[in-house]
Amino acid sequence: MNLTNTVKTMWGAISFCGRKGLYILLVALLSGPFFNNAFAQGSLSGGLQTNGNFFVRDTSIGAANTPQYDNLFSGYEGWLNLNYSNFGFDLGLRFDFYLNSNLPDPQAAFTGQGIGNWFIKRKIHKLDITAGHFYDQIGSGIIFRAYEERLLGIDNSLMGLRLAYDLSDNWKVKTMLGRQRNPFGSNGVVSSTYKPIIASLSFDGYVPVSDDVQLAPGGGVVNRVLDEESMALIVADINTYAPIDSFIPKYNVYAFSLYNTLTVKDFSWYIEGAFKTNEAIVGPEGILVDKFGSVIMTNLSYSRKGFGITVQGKRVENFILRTSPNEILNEGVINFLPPTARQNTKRLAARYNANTSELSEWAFQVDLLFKPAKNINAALNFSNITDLDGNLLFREAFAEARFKNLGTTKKWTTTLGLQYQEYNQDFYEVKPGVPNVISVVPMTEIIYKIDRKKTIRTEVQYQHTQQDFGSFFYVLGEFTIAPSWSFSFSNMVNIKPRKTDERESYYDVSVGYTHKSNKFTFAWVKQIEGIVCTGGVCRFEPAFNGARITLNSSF
Amino acid sequence: MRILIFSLVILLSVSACEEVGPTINIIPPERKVLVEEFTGVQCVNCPEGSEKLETLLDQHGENLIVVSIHSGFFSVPHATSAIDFRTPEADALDGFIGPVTFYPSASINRKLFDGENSRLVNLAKWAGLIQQELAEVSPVEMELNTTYDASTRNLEVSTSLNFFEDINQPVHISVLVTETDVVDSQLDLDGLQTDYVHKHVMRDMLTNFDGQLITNATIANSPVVNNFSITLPNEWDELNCAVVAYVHFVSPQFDVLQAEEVKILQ
Repeated sequence: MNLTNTVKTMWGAISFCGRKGLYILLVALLSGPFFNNAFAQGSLSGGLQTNGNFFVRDTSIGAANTPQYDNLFSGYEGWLNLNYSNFGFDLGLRFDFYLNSNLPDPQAAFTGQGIGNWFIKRKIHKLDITAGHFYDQIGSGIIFRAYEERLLGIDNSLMGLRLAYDLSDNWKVKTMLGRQRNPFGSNGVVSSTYKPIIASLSFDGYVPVSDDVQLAPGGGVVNRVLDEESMALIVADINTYAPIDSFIPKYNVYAFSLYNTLTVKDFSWYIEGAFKTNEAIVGPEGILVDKFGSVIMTNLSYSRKGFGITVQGKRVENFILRTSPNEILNEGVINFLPPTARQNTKRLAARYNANTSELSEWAFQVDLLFKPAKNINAALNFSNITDLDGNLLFREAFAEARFKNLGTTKKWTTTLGLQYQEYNQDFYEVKPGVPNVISVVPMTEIIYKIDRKKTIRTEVQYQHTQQDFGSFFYVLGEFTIAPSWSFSFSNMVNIKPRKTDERESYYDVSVGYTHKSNKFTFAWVKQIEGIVCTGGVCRFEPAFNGARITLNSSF
Repeated sequence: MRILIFSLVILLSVSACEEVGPTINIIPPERKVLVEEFTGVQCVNCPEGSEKLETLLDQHGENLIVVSIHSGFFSVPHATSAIDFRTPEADALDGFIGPVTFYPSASINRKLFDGENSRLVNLAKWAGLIQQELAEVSPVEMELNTTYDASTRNLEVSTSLNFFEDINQPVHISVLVTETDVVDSQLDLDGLQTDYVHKHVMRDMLTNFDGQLITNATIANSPVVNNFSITLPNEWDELNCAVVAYVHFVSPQFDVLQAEEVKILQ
């Protein structure tokens, strides 16, 4: 069998047999007559990520009343990726398993396993073909983004066909057709798909006007077509409405986007405008409304050595784009609206976050980075988010200075920071009548390098607030022996509690060990609970108390 | 010869008189749909769910039976609450049908619908799935009768079931009491309402939370009668109380086959 025929056979098998075709292909690769020589020339890579959670009931913090705390006591999830390249093909396969896992839903136990992702990719001259599951986005993701955040339970890959064609060196056109993966389908199926169909067409270009001026324009359209079953649910729901609220829903929605990045020397200006045609979306009153949606977003940045500034603005109105309006929470989300606020990483500074409000938002942000002295890096950030009626949703001012190698020794790095936040908890968490959370967080991080291998890192933060749970104090100590060991301890104490009579401590003790490409971590974690209400649905994120073991491995 | 002729006449008469009987069409019993709504006084979005169910009750009338189950974190009473709607059975049902992971959510005949990963579905799907279930045929007919003694507040409940087909798995019956129009505190999108009218609140069960076993293998056209009783607590207004009974599987299927509801005082 020559190579051409082999490839044709494989393509045929895949085209006609779907996933079975993939198995045939793998079997052919591993056992075919060319295995001894051809297979050996290919490259195989992959990785394994597994988590084990061991639940220990602690009613004092609400770590109770879920199946894991009541009777299961443990839950596991894992992903094994295999990627193989040969004959110009890229093949990928991912085995997913969830055993009594609370990752899909923090209050439930999900068990299921199987092939969660597979793809076959081949570039034929200027045509790039991908069949199977793929991740991609159009522009900044406003009209389409398929991505994976597995530890958040998000994996909305598109299952279908992706074709990308290079019109020239600088221009590319792309189409994607398929159905979105439903990662946690009924009866433990990890590879089912939502029924509505998604189709897209987009282009991206690059225009070097001169040495100093470049353009990177692009645009796209996404079409989602509802299936009969989803439409029947929508119709039945609308039939319960008063005549004034009733409307005729549409099967098709089209979302259009145009974007461009203009670069002039040290300046860069990105602008994207998108709109979507009328369709049934869940409105602010919790019932379906027939609305047109729009987004406009822009970033203007200037950077040179030691200085950078970015100004961002975004306006969003009724831009909910899902496989169908029947889906809630993380289900069936087709697009991604980037938040216009700082992504904080420090524990207390990251307690209150402003996700983009899909129905109504005006957002503005300035981010400034500069070096006032040789050993000092400074950052300033300000963001302000309101709804389209001008009601404040979120405001943050943040300042940070990082001092490196101060004094006579080069062993110390010290970071000082201060954050001020106003957070509309009523809006983001749907807690009617609660006042805005006003929080002030001073924080510091000190890194001391004992020698070339050993490092100590400490963090101290204090969150002053008279709302929500009240004030917190947080301390972290971490000792690292490169390249193998790390030990850390942190404690978050509700120092001025408003919801409990006693000060509650939420601590975390962890040990990490790395040997070559294997990394093991063990942690004992006590984590605070929270309630998240979005899109007319409330979901309780329970507290966690117990042990976590993880293994990350790559080859 | 006479005897022969007489015998032939008799024989012909008998055969000529053979009756052609009427066509019997066994009409399957009308299907009633049970909606078990999981709710809580702390859940701001739940009044919207209750409102939706009232609209659906207006649409489908007696063919729809609603039970509001207060369970989980969102059902912890407010300081202003006069009544704690939680019951051990509500918590047990939360785990049995669910677990409930978002509010408001409801099970429609406890069915796991195509494409769903839970028997509990969100509000947007209730109307469509109820309609879908109403179109199904039930294999069982139920008659539900109550006798209430106002002096002792004792309630006797009798259920009579007639199956139209053999069912080769255990079938259970659950019986419970609901109370409607109970005024007490509830959080909604405008804040805490102290005069909210709660509907169809599950007050107690006359069976275990997962019902009472009727039979391990049901035979068609073999009527089954069961009797239950309860003494109503003084806090319940019997004028607003109803008995709900439903026939269902327990595992691995949980589907409700038929349901019935009668008011305690007609």
